[in-house]
This record gives sequence, structure tokens and C-alpha cells, in this order.
Amino acid sequence: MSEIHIVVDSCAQVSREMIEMYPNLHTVSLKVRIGDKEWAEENLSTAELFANAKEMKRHPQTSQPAPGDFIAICKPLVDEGNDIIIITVSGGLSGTVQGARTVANSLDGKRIHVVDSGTASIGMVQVTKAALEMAAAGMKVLEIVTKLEAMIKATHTFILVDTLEYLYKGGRIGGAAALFGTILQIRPVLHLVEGKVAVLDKVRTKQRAITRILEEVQKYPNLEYIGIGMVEAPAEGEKIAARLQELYPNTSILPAAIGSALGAHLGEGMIGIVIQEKI
Amino acid sequence: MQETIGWVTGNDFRNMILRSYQTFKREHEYINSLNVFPVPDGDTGTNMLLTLGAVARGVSAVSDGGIGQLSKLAADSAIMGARGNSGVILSQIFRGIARGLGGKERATSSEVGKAFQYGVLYAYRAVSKPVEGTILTVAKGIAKGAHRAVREGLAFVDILTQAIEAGEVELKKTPDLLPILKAAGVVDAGGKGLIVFLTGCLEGLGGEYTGPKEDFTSTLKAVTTEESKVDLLHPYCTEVLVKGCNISVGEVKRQLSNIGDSLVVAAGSNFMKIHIHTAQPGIVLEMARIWGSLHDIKIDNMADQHHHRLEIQETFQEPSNIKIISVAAGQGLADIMTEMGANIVIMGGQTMNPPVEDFIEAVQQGNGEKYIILPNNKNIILAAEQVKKMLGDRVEIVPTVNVPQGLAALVAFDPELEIDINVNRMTHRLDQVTAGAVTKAVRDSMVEDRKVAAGKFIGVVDSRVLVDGEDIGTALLKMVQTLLQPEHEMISLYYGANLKETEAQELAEKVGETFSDIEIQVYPGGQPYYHFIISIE
Repeated sequence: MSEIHIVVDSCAQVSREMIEMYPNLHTVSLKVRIGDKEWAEENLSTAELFANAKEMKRHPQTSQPAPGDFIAICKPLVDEGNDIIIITVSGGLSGTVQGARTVANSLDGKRIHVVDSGTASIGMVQVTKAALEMAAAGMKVLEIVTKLEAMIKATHTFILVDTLEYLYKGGRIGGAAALFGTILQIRPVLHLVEGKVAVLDKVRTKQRAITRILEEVQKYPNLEYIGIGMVEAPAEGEKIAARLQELYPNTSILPAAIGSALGAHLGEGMIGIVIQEKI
Repeated sequence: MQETIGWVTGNDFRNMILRSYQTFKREHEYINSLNVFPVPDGDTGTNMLLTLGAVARGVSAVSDGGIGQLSKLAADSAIMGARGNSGVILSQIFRGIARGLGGKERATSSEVGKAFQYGVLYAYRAVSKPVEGTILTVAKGIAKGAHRAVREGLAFVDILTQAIEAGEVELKKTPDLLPILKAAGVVDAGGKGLIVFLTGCLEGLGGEYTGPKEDFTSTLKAVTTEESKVDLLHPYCTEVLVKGCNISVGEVKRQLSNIGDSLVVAAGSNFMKIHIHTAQPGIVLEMARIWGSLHDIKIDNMADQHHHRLEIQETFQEPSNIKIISVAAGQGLADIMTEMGANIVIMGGQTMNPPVEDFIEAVQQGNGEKYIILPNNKNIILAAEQVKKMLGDRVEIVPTVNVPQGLAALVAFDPELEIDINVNRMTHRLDQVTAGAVTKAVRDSMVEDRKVAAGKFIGVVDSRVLVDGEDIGTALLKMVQTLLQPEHEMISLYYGANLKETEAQELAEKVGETFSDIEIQVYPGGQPYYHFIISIE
């Protein structure tokens, strides 16, 4: 009997519990590289990532999952006659989605549906959960994909970084945004626009940056959830979470786990907020 | 000069200007020293000297020509080269003179005398709220003296001498009219500048002024406190002679007052000469046609009349919609601004107010569609506004009055957004940054009720002295204490040309020890005078 399987990449950082709960959920790993050493994302914590990068004095790099990793999971499932939805980290951040599409076309383009989440971390987790629940409820794969796309449209991602260095060196930000100076300490307030990192605003202090993000979040009064995650910035993250809970007393505030691949592009001290409007 | 008694020629006029410029070179430092504030700030002498320099270059550009042509050249050069408020006023005087001598090959003594009176009229007109005790009071005295001498039918050299004498009398009165001068024990610097200018003119005609002269040995000085706005230029200088008209001068003025500035309406028996700076010359002519027949129509775009001369750093050259022109005093600040996205940095600031011409040149040399000007100094905003008047919608101003505001505005700039949104965002940032500076009092002074001794270090905000101390560190610390608010997170210190990096770092560390929860950043500013420019956010 044909089933719907969900494949998600490691940028989602889905929990072990979730993997255990859903036998039709599979993960593939992005790779993180520092110098000549390489790790599967889940084998390297962000703390280890930055410690290693400092020690080796090299900038960390990432790579999308090898096509073989997707094929290893997808081929047997397709051969058994199952449908697959692959949910990837935003195509503006990683080539994972392209890799997945190539694999999908080479195996069975009709059976394998690739969904670009347009976000990362908790945003991907929520999309994945919704997909699993809809599959369990017996919905058709194309209906599920349509629903997921609506959800993705209603999802907004904001990012604070201590420095643009990681994004710049990782090639995740360019054009005008990369032009502005590093001579003065600037705190860029970033967001994802069509999945790509864009500068929402620039300020000089952390509190102003936080205030700016909160202003932006408040443009959306009805939220399904608010996800917040951070890399090595627990104190600020908690403060922001508390402020958001005050502003949205009836909305769940979800912790967002951030893996070393995202960490490698955003740097220490980053804070990410993902929200989804009610649809 | 004997041969010039009857007529004043274009050549005489040029000699007057060139000699006056030389005289001003000698005297401008002294005029600068007439400053009620202990901080060099928009120096009147330098501003007038540079304005006069532009005029001198202008009249040297042609080898001959009538006095009418030369005076027009002088006026145009002055308008383009005007620096600071005193320079703008001086440029208006030249405009008035040109108005008086317009179209003349040579002029009689009395015509030149009258032209100078026009100059004074224009200067008054230029200032929307004339303040007595300033350059205007002196100008008025000069006009009265000239008027008397003209009536007596004197030669021009004698007219000038009497004008200077009358001006000196008024100059002496300026402290009685303006309390800030009296408190500092000085006369008005701009007024003094005007006397120096006329004295130079006199010398240029071979005369020598030997009359009574006030000698102020005080080291204190008068600030040009004219806070009032000067009438700004509309780009088209429009002149027309209307013949056979049956409308009153007052009515013409009333009808034209809304479509331009620098309006002059001179009436004859049944004709009227209209001069106006406007953005809509066609409408002016259309209106005038109803009043009578039109003659001698002349429309000039004043933006075309400048001469090339500047210190501009052009940086990024890739085409972009919006370019930023920022003014910086000091290479360090210029570098920071460039790095932060300023496309063109015009060197100038505290004591070197760049002229309108520099901005125009920057716009014309750049390849942007639109420009945002960051004046970064209160004495430069007027020039920036004049640029906007001349170039219209291509130019927007974010009215930054100090370097920290300029940098805060730059931080907010996003080249991918529309200019209106940018101007809005950038302007919104100005009150989010607290600015101050630490410097050394260069002379004894009274500021408000506070006596500040020369050699002391002082903390200033907008020319107001807030704190003082025996050394830089003390003044810096006191200043930070005074300015710091609970919500502040970061102090940026831009150290000046008079500090070494190690000194600046040491002083900054002391601030850091006192305010341990505040982030402190130290940057080389390279600015003159100010040991530190302080920015708190």
C-alpha cells in the first residue's frame, strides 16, 4: 500500500523524538567543512564548530547533501511505489533544493515532490510536522504540497547577526548589502525575502536591532507560532522571547534549534525569529 | 586714481576686487579671532575671504569688459562661491552692486555709490529676519555714508572713504545692539569683514584709508549669530523691462512674491524693471505681459555660471540611483564615511565651509540620478539648501548638524530603496544619536554665565560649553557623564588630528573603566580642533 514519506534536510534540526514518532520521516545531512575536515551537520555542534574554526583559523564552509544521500533514501521508497515530499532549507541559503530536484527528476519526478521551505530551523520543522499530520490524515500528496506552499508563503524569517562576516564569506549575502562598511560596528537587521538574505535595516546597537525586529514582527497581528533560536546568545534570546510572549500572549513561542550549517553562515551571537501568520 | 574721478571703469572695478582680496588675506585671521565662542566655528574671516576669492577669480577670467559685465561676473561668482552665512550675505551685496551697474560700460561716481547702496539693500533682503548689531548694521551705515557722499557730488574714492567712516561708526555700535558681543567685548566679525573689504576696494583705486579705525585688541570674538534664513535662490534669474504699464510697484511685488525670491521691482516714469529668481520664468513673463509690453528679457540659469575649483573625493563609480554627498573635516572621518557608503566626500566642516559650487560640481561630476546631501555642520546646511533650490528634485538634504548624525544617517542608508524612503529613514535617525565634542579653549571667553579660561579643556554641544577640565581625560569623562542616558549602549569616539592613536586609546580606556557596561569604540577622525567627537547611542 502506497504511503507518503517526508524527507527533510538537517537544517531543520528535527528532534530525535519526532524521528522516532514518525516512521515515514527521513533526514539527510548537509556537510560542514573546516579546512580539510568534514562533518555531517548533526555530528558537529555549533560550539564545536566555532571552537574548531578558531583553532584551525579557517572559515567554516558547508555543502549540500550529496545526491547519493537523497538517492539512498528515495530510491527504495519510490521503488516500493511510495510518494515522497522533500522539504529543504531555503534555496536562497543552500543549493540543497536544486540537488533534491535533480535527484527527483532522475528517479521519478511525478512521485517525488520537492518543497523549498523558504526558511530554516523551526520554520522547516513546522512545515514538516504539518506534512506528516496531513499524510496521517490521509490527504493526497498534491493537496499536501499545496497546503505546505500556502504555509510557506505565510512564514517570515528574521535574523540578527553580530557581524556580516560569516554571511559574506559564505557567499550568502552580496550586492549592495555587502558594500556597506565594516569600519563602524554595524548591526544589520536581516530577513529572508523569497528565501534570500536581505537587509531589512542597519543600526548600531543590539537593543535597537532587537527593537527593529520586534517592530517588524508586529506587522503581523495573528500568528500561528513564533519560533526563536540563537547561536551562543542565550541571554538576549530569552529576553526577546519574553518580550514576544508579552506582545503575543496567546501564541506559542517555540524554541528553534540551529545547527552548525546555519551557524557557519550566520556566526556566533546570531538570533533568528521565524513566524507564521494564521491561514 | 585722479583719472578715475569722473568715471569708474570695468578695469577699476577689477582692481578694487583684486586688491580687496589681497587686503582680506592679510586681515582674515584677525576677523576669525573675533569669536565669542572658544571653539573655532564657521570662521567669518575665512568664509568671507574664500567668497571674495571666488569673486576675484571670476573677474580675472575676462581681460576687459565694462563695469556692468564685470559686476555681473562678480555677483555670479560670489553666489556660487559663497561660504557660510557671512559669505552668503557678501554675495548678496555683490548682486546688488551688479544690479546697480547692470549694462553699463563705465559708471559715474554717483552711479557706483548708488550701486553699493543697492548692495546693502540686497543684503538686507537676503536675511529674512535681519538682526541689528550684525554685518547688516554695518552695511546700513556704509550705505548711509555713501548716500551722503553721493549727494555731495564727491569723487568715488571720497565716497568710499566716507562710506567706510560711516561703517566704522556703526561697527563700534554693534556691541550695544547685540548683548552677546558686549559680553565678549568684541565687535561683529562680519561687519569688520565688510569694512576690510571696502578698505581693500579703496586701496585698489589707489586711495588709502587713514580715517579713524577701531582697534580691538581683545582676543574674544563675535559669532555670526544670524540664525535667520537667507533668501535662497531659485535657479532662473529672470529680468524683464515692462513698458507702458499702469500697475503699481506694490501690486507687482505682491503678485510676484509667491513665485520666486530676490525680487526687485524698480519703477521709472512709465516703465518697470522686474528682477526675480524663480523656478517658473514663463509664468513671470506671462504675468508681466498683462501689465505692459515686454523688453530686454533675460533669463539665466544660475547653475551654469560657476567656475571649476574643488577638493572632491569621488569614490564608487558603479551606476546607482542615489548617491550620497557627505561633508567631512579630517581624512579619518572622510574614510569612514566613504567606507560607510558616502559616494562623494567634500572636505570641509568646522572652519572650512564648502561653497555651493562644490556641491554643484559634485553632482555634475557624479553619475547618480539623485543625490542626498549630508552637511554634517550647521553652517553648511544653508549652502546645501541653496544647492537644492538650484538643482531641484535631484537633490535631497538630510539636515545633519554634526558628524555623529551624519554617520547615523549613513548607517540607515539603503541604496536599493527609493530616495524618499531613505531620506525619511535617515532623518529619523538623527535624534537617536547624542553628539558632543571635547576641545581646548583657544581663548578666554564667557559662554552664557560660564567663564572659560584659555587652555582649559571643554566639552561642547552645538557651540554650548557644558563642562570643563584641566586635561582632556577629565573633560571627556565629564562630558560622557553629562550626555549618557540609561538606554545608551555604545560610545563611539573619533579622535582628532591633535591626538595620537595611543593617547586616544588610553583616554578611551579610562572612560571604559568608569562606564564598564557601555561598549566603547575608538576611531581615527583626523578632524582639526576637536580632540574627540563623541557619539552616544
